[in-house]
Amino acid sequence: MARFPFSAIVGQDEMKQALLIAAVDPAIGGVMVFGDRGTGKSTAARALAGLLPPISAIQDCPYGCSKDDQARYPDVCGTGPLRKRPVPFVDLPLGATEDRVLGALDLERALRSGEKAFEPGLLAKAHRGFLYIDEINLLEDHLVDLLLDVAASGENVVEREGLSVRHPAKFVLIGSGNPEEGELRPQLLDRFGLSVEVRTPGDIESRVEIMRRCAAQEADSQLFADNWADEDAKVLRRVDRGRKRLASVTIPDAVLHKAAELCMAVGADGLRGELTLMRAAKALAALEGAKTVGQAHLVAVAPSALRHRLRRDVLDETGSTARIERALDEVFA
Amino acid sequence: MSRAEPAPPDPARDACLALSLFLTAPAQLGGLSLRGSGPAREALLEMLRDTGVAVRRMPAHVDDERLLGGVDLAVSLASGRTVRARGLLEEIAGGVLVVPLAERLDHAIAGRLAQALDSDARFGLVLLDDGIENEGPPAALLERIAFFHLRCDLGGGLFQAPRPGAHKGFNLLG
Repeated sequence: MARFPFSAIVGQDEMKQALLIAAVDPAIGGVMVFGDRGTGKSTAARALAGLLPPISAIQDCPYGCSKDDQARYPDVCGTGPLRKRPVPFVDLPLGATEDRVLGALDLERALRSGEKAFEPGLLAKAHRGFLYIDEINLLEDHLVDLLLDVAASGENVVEREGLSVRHPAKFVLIGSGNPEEGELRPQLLDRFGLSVEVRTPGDIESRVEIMRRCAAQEADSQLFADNWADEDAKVLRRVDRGRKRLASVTIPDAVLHKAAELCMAVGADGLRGELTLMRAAKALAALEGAKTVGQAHLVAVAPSALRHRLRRDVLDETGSTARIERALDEVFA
Repeated sequence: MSRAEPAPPDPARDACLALSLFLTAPAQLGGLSLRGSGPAREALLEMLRDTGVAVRRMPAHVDDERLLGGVDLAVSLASGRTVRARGLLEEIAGGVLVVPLAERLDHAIAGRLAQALDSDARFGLVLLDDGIENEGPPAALLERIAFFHLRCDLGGGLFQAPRPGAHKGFNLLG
């Protein structure tokens, strides 16, 4: 069955924008999606991975290493020629064992030939792609620790069962969850560059349109995908152009000032708020083909870059999105 | 990163100084603990690697066999005699062991590291502490290392009021 096209997702603009920004600049550090079940969270992430151009990786390398990786990790990947392969999209199930996530001793080879070999895990598979964790707030603590370490260092170090292996593991982390079902450790939340809130669409028109599109997709997924191919190609061109332009996009000092003012106004923890705000605004400008970052870009990304970094204020029970909107009004008055 | 900018507030320089001192005799000084993740700590780790000292990262899920060494079963069975495999602590002799997420470190592993530091230690520890509020690395390790509570996060006091230009990173060496 052909995947659901990214451009055919109705509404959810903030989520789509955040995912595209992460695709343009993976260094932003992933997207956390809060919200209701069945709002297209995993569909959107999956669709984006399917839409992106294939990566070129060493043939048969279990880690999907690039040429640069090969130079840094000469022991783990082969010397084969470069081949195209689709952008990886890996689902991390909540019940995954550490062995499955990290990789472990290849028992079959150990028993058959007495050879100590490493069988790569999900982290290896996700290298240069997306690692998707549904209900991330229910993930067990020891898996959270392990993810935090790998996400921060960009490599997976395995020292167990007599194995000593180090391989690259850089991925865009996509988490989804419902904050009411359990809190996310602040350190994990902090790893996500952007966070978005998705809601079930509130108007009849959108809901009807969603039903229409889903019915069409279920009837003939290939035809549906073909019908949306042009729209998807447009999105792909934007991402491609964005990636090429990203390095040359400039940010005027005035915009940096506004970013800092905004972060102070909302009381964001630390400086990571500004840094993400700046990067995300830059990626958005690149996506839109602008040469410089304008205030509009800043305003557009502010809620997703800052929402999860607000200090809790016991006297102010207003939701974080509302607090950011208020601050935006003040700063850009 | 402009050299003309005034030196940043002190925590970053303290951390730099501590790192340089630590590197003069890693095993004797035990180690240092760097609190708060972010570009500043990455820069310090980069400095550490650039000095050429052997650096290994110890993942939190290390097992005893890999940490302390044990019998290499495959080789022992093949050769018909007991062959010992070296553990991480032996392999890192003369170098530095980096411990990420030190605030979450299992107490059993912390105990083994502490014991190793007490008996003729030949390595230094760099604890990466991502704790918030009261979280922190195990006391058993903190009391055995020379430099601790070095703040190198970007928030919480390192920069009270961000200055323009602070976004571009700051000059660690002042």
